[in-house]
Amino acid sequence: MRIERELMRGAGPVAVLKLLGGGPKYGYEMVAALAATPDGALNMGQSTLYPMLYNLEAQGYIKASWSEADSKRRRKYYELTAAGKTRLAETEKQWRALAQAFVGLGILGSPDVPPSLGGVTP
Amino acid sequence: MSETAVPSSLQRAFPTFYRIARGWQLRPKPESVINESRLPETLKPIALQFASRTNWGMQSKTKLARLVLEYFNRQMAGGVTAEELSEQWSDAVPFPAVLKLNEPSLLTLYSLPKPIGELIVSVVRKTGLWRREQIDVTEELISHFEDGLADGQAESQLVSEFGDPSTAARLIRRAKLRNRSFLWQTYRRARQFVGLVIVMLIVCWCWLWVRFHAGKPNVTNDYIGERDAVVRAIPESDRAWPLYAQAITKCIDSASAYPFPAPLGADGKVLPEWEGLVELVDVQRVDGFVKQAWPISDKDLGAPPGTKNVQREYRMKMDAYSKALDELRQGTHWPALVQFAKMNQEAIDLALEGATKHQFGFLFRDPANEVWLKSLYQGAESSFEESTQSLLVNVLLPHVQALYSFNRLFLIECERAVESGDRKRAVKILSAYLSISEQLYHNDEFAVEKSVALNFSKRCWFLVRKILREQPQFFTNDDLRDLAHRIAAHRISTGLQIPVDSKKLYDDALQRLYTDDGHGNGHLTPAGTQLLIEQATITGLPVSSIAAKGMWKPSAWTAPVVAGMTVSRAELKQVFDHCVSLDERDASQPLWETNLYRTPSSLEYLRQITSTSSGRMKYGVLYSIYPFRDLGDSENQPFKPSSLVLGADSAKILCDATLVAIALELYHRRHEAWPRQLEQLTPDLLPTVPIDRFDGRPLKYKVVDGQPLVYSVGRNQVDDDGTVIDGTTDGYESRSGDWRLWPVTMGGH
Repeated sequence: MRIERELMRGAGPVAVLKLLGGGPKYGYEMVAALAATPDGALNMGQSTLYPMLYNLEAQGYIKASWSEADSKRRRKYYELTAAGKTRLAETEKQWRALAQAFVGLGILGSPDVPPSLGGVTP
Repeated sequence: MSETAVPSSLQRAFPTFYRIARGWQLRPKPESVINESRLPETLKPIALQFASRTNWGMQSKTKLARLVLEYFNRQMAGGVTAEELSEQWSDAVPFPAVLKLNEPSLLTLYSLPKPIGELIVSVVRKTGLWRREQIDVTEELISHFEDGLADGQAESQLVSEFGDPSTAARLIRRAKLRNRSFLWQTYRRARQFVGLVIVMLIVCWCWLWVRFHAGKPNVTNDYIGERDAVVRAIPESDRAWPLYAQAITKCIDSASAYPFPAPLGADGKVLPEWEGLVELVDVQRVDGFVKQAWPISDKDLGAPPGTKNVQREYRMKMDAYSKALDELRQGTHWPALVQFAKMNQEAIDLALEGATKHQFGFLFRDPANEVWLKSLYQGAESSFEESTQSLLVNVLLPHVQALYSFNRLFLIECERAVESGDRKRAVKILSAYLSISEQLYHNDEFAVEKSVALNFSKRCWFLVRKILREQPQFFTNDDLRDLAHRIAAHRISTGLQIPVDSKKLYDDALQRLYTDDGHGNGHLTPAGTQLLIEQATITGLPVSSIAAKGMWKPSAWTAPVVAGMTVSRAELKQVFDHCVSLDERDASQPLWETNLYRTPSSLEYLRQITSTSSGRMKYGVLYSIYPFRDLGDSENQPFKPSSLVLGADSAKILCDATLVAIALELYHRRHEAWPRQLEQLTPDLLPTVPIDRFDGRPLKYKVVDGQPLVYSVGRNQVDDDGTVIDGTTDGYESRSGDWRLWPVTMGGH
């Protein structure tokens, strides 16, 4: 499924930060991981991913380092900085709140809130 | 250069130079590196072509050739055939970052499938980043595609999933720039800001240029034409000017009688009998003559060193000029002057006849002007005609200057009449002075004409007092009564007031300088700018000094900007009106209620609004077209409303003094004694005692040593008991001391 650019602009960095929350990763690895999300919703072209990584690096949320992999090839690994971890925690909270609101509105399904009610209390 | 080509002596003398030269000569070249290798012949041209395609230096090319060579050798050692390598590398193009890549990366880049290699090269090239950054991106992309290939992705899929190279390059560049240092970011912002400002300035300038050059003034009112139409409506028999023009022409026709140039003797000098005469008829020579005869310095005048009191100096010259006349009359030159007057009887009579007319009646645009202009001012007729099409304030008034010659001719003729006892002739000339003064005064609204008119009046008043002083019995009682009535009824002296220049002057300026949007607004035009620059040259000190300071002297490049920053037509009109109201307020104040040495309110206002650079830029134009006047010490601004107002009040004092002098003479004839106070003259000989315009009290009078003395407190507004303080004869127009009005000395006003 193709996500609109504006949505992707907000969700993409969070997704990347979350991926890196699991430990250092290199570019192709992240591309593959994002492509593997349901419906490929977070699948983004490399032409988008790498600039996004550079931006996060400029913002101080991640840092990069070259290291040699088992295959003897050099790879650039990205990992979260302390600021990145804080940022991820904050963003996760916000997204959870957003998701709850969406559930309330019936945009997102939930066993507790029937979509037909839309979560709106009279 | 071969080894033997370098002389051994040079090797010894310049060992360093020799080593460098040898190194240069022996440095390996890519051709030799590749040709001397064991590479298959089919690959050598490809390797050489690759290394040679760059525009780098020889050393870099050689390094690149070695890298390629080594790579080919390894590949073939690993089982890759020369044909495969040839296929893969035939179109390979190095890019700037390649040399800085570490060897494995470089080799990997060119070992990647061609579409991927080209994609990487394309993206990295388009980023335009610094070399270090390009290397980083290149290596990361190499790594990325290697991972993709290792993951089993097809090269075509990897390329298509990567996205648009241009977009990628743009986004990568933007993100990488954000990673640069704060210093660089600041520099970049500053550069962008400066660039933006420059672009905006250029756009603004272009807009101003188009606006400026598209603007054209719309001259709707021809004030000279309108004025001439009024004059043409006056019957010719009522106009004085045709007679004056004839008189001028008669003078000029008689070349021997009107010596321009003066007749010279065999020794090349002016003939002795003409010397005084020449000086009298040529005002410029009068200056020189006076300066030569009575050198005047600031020290003599009591002025602080380095300062000038031009008005006083001028007055001194005029005093000296009158003295010269007296000396000439008594000396050897008087016969020449008499001869001159006799030879010009026809001209004098024509002028006297002109003085009997009610209207001056001068036409600016009249073909007949060419006749007298051509003979009087050679070559001036064309500029005069042009001036009537220019700014109204710049219209030349040659007729006024020409007429002024009769002021002097009448003087000689009056003296001659007194000498010969011809009372009627003397009275006629004195009356003619007043008539010409009235004609000129009411002719136009040019301040110059008002000023010259005042001079004619003053000459009359002076001569009356002078004759009364020198020959008290010359006039009969009836003559004196008639003269008194004539002077009292003088159409200037009864309502003596010098108005500020007509509003027409600046209305005319506005229509010639600005565009007209139909609602009274507009902006400065190229034609208007040109007029202003010319105006700055014409009007003398204030404008030229402003122009010299760069306040208002735009060049072709700056003119659109200056015009854009210059005050708009509507606002300028408001400022004009305000200045006029200030001038009128100044003029309406009696001298005794005002500080004579203050700056005129209009000029003070102008100084206030031009006190800043932007103010000068905006309102500097005002200096060019508004007749701002100083109080009288500015040497290049002789015609100033404020000083003219002062001059008018001064003239009023002289007029009153003349009436007092006549009344005193009549009283003396009746009682054979002088009155103790002026009140004794009223109401039989004088309606009231005149007011001293400087203190608002009656004119001062006392009898000293059996002789009457009438005086004004003068410009210092302090009664100095009739004492003249500075070096002038009667202290007239002096800033210090009193002004002695009666009796006048021989070389009086």
